[in-house]
Amino acid sequence: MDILSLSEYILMGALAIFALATIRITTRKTIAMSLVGISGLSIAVATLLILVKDIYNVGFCTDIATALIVLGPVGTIAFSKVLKAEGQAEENEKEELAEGSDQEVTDKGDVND
Amino acid sequence: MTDVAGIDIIIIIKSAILLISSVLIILAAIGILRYRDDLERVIYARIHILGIADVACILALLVLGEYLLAAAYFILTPFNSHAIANAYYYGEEKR
Repeated sequence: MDILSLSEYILMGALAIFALATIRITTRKTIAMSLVGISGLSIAVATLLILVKDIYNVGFCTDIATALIVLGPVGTIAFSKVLKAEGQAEENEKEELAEGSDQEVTDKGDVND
Repeated sequence: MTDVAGIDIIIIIKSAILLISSVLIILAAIGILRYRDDLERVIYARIHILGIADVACILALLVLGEYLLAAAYFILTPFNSHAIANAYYYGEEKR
Protein backbone atom coordinates (compact mmCIF):
# COMPACT_ATOMS: atom_id res chain seq x y z
CA MET A 1 0.00 0.00 0.00
CA ASP A 2 1.47 3.38 -0.97
CA ILE A 3 1.61 6.39 1.32
CA LEU A 4 -1.18 8.32 -0.46
CA SER A 5 -3.68 5.45 -0.14
CA LEU A 6 -2.76 5.07 3.53
CA SER A 7 -3.42 8.75 4.24
CA GLU A 8 -6.70 8.53 2.31
CA TYR A 9 -7.83 5.66 4.53
CA ILE A 10 -6.78 7.60 7.65
CA LEU A 11 -8.80 10.61 6.44
CA MET A 12 -11.76 8.31 5.82
CA GLY A 13 -11.60 7.10 9.43
CA ALA A 14 -11.31 10.66 10.74
CA LEU A 15 -14.32 11.73 8.68
CA ALA A 16 -16.36 8.78 9.97
CA ILE A 17 -15.58 9.79 13.57
CA PHE A 18 -16.46 13.41 12.78
CA ALA A 19 -19.73 12.32 11.15
CA LEU A 20 -20.68 10.41 14.33
CA ALA A 21 -19.84 13.48 16.45
CA THR A 22 -22.02 15.72 14.27
CA ILE A 23 -24.91 13.22 14.41
CA ARG A 24 -24.68 13.41 18.20
CA ILE A 25 -24.77 17.23 18.05
CA THR A 26 -27.76 17.09 15.68
CA THR A 27 -29.84 15.28 18.29
CA ARG A 28 -29.48 18.08 20.89
CA LYS A 29 -32.60 19.98 21.88
CA THR A 30 -32.18 23.39 20.20
CA ILE A 31 -32.80 23.94 16.50
CA ALA A 32 -29.61 25.95 15.99
CA MET A 33 -27.57 23.06 17.38
CA SER A 34 -29.23 20.73 14.88
CA LEU A 35 -28.32 23.14 12.08
CA VAL A 36 -24.67 23.11 13.20
CA GLY A 37 -24.73 19.31 13.25
CA ILE A 38 -26.32 18.96 9.84
CA SER A 39 -23.91 21.47 8.33
CA GLY A 40 -20.93 19.47 9.64
CA LEU A 41 -22.46 16.18 8.55
CA SER A 42 -23.06 17.37 4.99
CA ILE A 43 -19.42 18.41 4.41
CA ALA A 44 -18.12 15.25 6.12
CA VAL A 45 -20.26 12.98 3.92
CA ALA A 46 -19.38 14.96 0.78
CA THR A 47 -15.64 14.60 1.44
CA LEU A 48 -16.16 10.91 2.26
CA LEU A 49 -17.92 10.41 -1.08
CA ILE A 50 -15.06 12.11 -2.96
CA LEU A 51 -12.64 9.77 -1.17
CA VAL A 52 -14.77 6.76 -2.15
CA LYS A 53 -14.71 7.95 -5.75
CA ASP A 54 -10.93 8.31 -5.60
CA ILE A 55 -10.29 4.90 -4.02
CA TYR A 56 -12.96 2.69 -5.60
CA ASN A 57 -13.61 4.63 -8.85
CA VAL A 58 -17.35 5.00 -8.27
CA GLY A 59 -18.30 7.75 -10.71
CA PHE A 60 -21.66 8.95 -9.41
CA CYS A 61 -20.21 9.81 -5.97
CA THR A 62 -19.05 13.17 -7.38
CA ASP A 63 -22.62 14.07 -8.37
CA ILE A 64 -23.96 13.26 -4.90
CA ALA A 65 -21.10 15.20 -3.28
CA THR A 66 -21.80 18.21 -5.51
CA ALA A 67 -25.47 18.13 -4.57
CA LEU A 68 -24.59 17.88 -0.86
CA ILE A 69 -22.07 20.72 -0.97
CA VAL A 70 -24.36 23.09 -2.86
CA LEU A 71 -27.72 22.20 -1.32
CA GLY A 72 -26.50 21.65 2.27
CA PRO A 73 -25.63 25.32 2.94
CA VAL A 74 -28.63 26.50 0.89
CA GLY A 75 -30.99 24.44 3.09
CA THR A 76 -29.24 25.61 6.27
CA ILE A 77 -29.51 29.27 5.22
CA ALA A 78 -33.21 28.87 4.31
CA PHE A 79 -34.01 27.20 7.63
CA SER A 80 -32.04 29.86 9.50
CA LYS A 81 -34.16 32.56 7.85
CA VAL A 82 -37.34 30.80 9.04
CA LEU A 83 -35.94 30.44 12.56
CA LYS A 84 -34.97 34.11 12.68
CA ALA A 85 -38.36 35.28 11.35
CA GLU A 86 -40.15 33.08 13.89
CA GLY A 87 -38.07 34.51 16.75
CA GLN A 88 -38.66 38.08 15.64
CA ALA A 89 -42.44 37.51 15.30
CA GLU A 90 -42.52 36.08 18.82
CA GLU A 91 -40.58 39.09 20.11
CA ASN A 92 -42.95 41.54 18.37
CA GLU A 93 -45.92 39.70 19.88
CA LYS A 94 -44.39 40.04 23.35
CA GLU A 95 -43.75 43.76 22.79
CA GLU A 96 -47.34 44.31 21.65
CA LEU A 97 -48.64 42.46 24.72
CA ALA A 98 -46.40 44.54 26.96
CA GLU A 99 -47.61 47.76 25.29
CA GLY A 100 -51.24 46.63 25.67
CA SER A 101 -50.85 45.95 29.38
CA ASP A 102 -49.16 49.35 29.86
CA GLN A 103 -52.08 51.03 28.12
CA GLU A 104 -54.57 49.16 30.36
CA VAL A 105 -52.74 50.38 33.44
CA THR A 106 -52.87 54.02 32.21
CA ASP A 107 -56.58 53.65 31.29
CA LYS A 108 -57.35 52.38 34.80
CA GLY A 109 -55.41 55.31 36.21
CA ASP A 110 -57.57 57.69 34.18
CA VAL A 111 -60.78 56.08 35.50
CA ASN A 112 -59.56 56.40 39.08
CA ASP A 113 -58.81 60.07 38.51
CA MET B 1 9.85 14.88 -10.67
CA THR B 2 12.24 14.91 -7.70
CA ASP B 3 12.10 11.77 -5.63
CA VAL B 4 12.56 11.43 -1.88
CA ALA B 5 13.51 7.84 -0.95
CA GLY B 6 12.00 6.61 -4.20
CA ILE B 7 8.63 8.41 -3.67
CA ASP B 8 7.44 11.35 -5.76
CA ILE B 9 7.59 14.62 -3.78
CA ILE B 10 4.08 15.63 -4.89
CA ILE B 11 2.71 12.38 -3.44
CA ILE B 12 4.47 13.12 -0.15
CA ILE B 13 3.04 16.66 0.00
CA LYS B 14 -0.46 15.37 -0.81
CA SER B 15 -0.22 12.69 1.87
CA ALA B 16 1.03 15.22 4.42
CA ILE B 17 -1.89 17.57 3.69
CA LEU B 18 -4.38 14.70 3.97
CA LEU B 19 -2.86 13.63 7.29
CA ILE B 20 -2.97 17.23 8.60
CA SER B 21 -6.64 17.40 7.53
CA SER B 22 -7.32 14.14 9.38
CA VAL B 23 -5.77 15.50 12.57
CA LEU B 24 -7.77 18.74 12.30
CA ILE B 25 -11.00 16.80 11.71
CA ILE B 26 -10.37 14.54 14.71
CA LEU B 27 -9.64 17.61 16.88
CA ALA B 28 -12.84 19.26 15.64
CA ALA B 29 -14.83 16.11 16.47
CA ILE B 30 -13.41 16.10 20.02
CA GLY B 31 -13.93 19.85 20.42
CA ILE B 32 -17.51 19.81 19.21
CA LEU B 33 -18.47 17.18 21.83
CA ARG B 34 -16.45 18.26 24.85
CA TYR B 35 -18.42 21.35 25.91
CA ARG B 36 -21.50 20.88 28.05
CA ASP B 37 -24.86 21.88 26.57
CA ASP B 38 -25.85 24.00 29.58
CA LEU B 39 -22.96 26.42 28.99
CA GLU B 40 -24.13 29.86 28.00
CA ARG B 41 -23.83 30.59 24.24
CA VAL B 42 -22.00 27.30 23.55
CA ILE B 43 -23.38 27.32 20.02
CA TYR B 44 -21.02 30.12 18.95
CA ALA B 45 -18.07 27.99 20.12
CA ARG B 46 -19.43 25.05 18.15
CA ILE B 47 -19.83 27.14 15.00
CA HIS B 48 -16.24 28.26 15.46
CA ILE B 49 -15.03 24.66 15.82
CA LEU B 50 -17.04 23.66 12.76
CA GLY B 51 -15.01 26.22 10.79
CA ILE B 52 -11.86 24.18 11.49
CA ALA B 53 -13.46 21.04 10.09
CA ASP B 54 -14.74 22.99 7.07
CA VAL B 55 -11.26 24.28 6.21
CA ALA B 56 -9.77 20.80 6.70
CA CYS B 57 -12.36 19.34 4.31
CA ILE B 58 -11.66 22.12 1.76
CA LEU B 59 -7.94 21.26 1.94
CA ALA B 60 -8.73 17.57 1.45
CA LEU B 61 -11.00 18.33 -1.53
CA LEU B 62 -8.23 20.42 -3.11
CA VAL B 63 -5.73 17.58 -2.69
CA LEU B 64 -8.22 15.08 -4.14
CA GLY B 65 -8.54 17.20 -7.29
CA GLU B 66 -12.05 18.59 -6.76
CA TYR B 67 -11.15 22.25 -7.18
CA LEU B 68 -14.63 23.46 -8.14
CA LEU B 69 -16.28 21.79 -5.15
CA ALA B 70 -13.63 23.19 -2.82
CA ALA B 71 -14.12 26.71 -4.23
CA ALA B 72 -17.91 26.43 -3.99
CA TYR B 73 -17.75 25.31 -0.38
CA PHE B 74 -15.10 27.94 0.43
CA ILE B 75 -17.55 30.61 -0.76
CA LEU B 76 -20.67 29.10 0.84
CA THR B 77 -19.42 28.16 4.30
CA PRO B 78 -19.06 31.70 5.77
CA PHE B 79 -22.64 32.49 4.71
CA ASN B 80 -23.72 29.24 6.32
CA SER B 81 -22.04 29.92 9.66
CA HIS B 82 -23.27 33.52 9.71
CA ALA B 83 -26.84 32.42 8.97
CA ILE B 84 -26.83 29.94 11.87
CA ALA B 85 -25.33 32.44 14.33
CA ASN B 86 -27.69 35.20 13.19
CA ALA B 87 -30.74 32.94 13.46
CA TYR B 88 -29.70 31.83 16.94
CA TYR B 89 -29.13 35.43 18.08
CA TYR B 90 -32.49 36.71 16.83
CA GLY B 91 -34.44 33.47 17.15
CA GLU B 92 -33.56 31.31 20.13
CA GLU B 93 -31.28 33.36 22.37
CA LYS B 94 -33.83 36.14 22.88
CA ARG B 95 -36.63 33.74 23.93
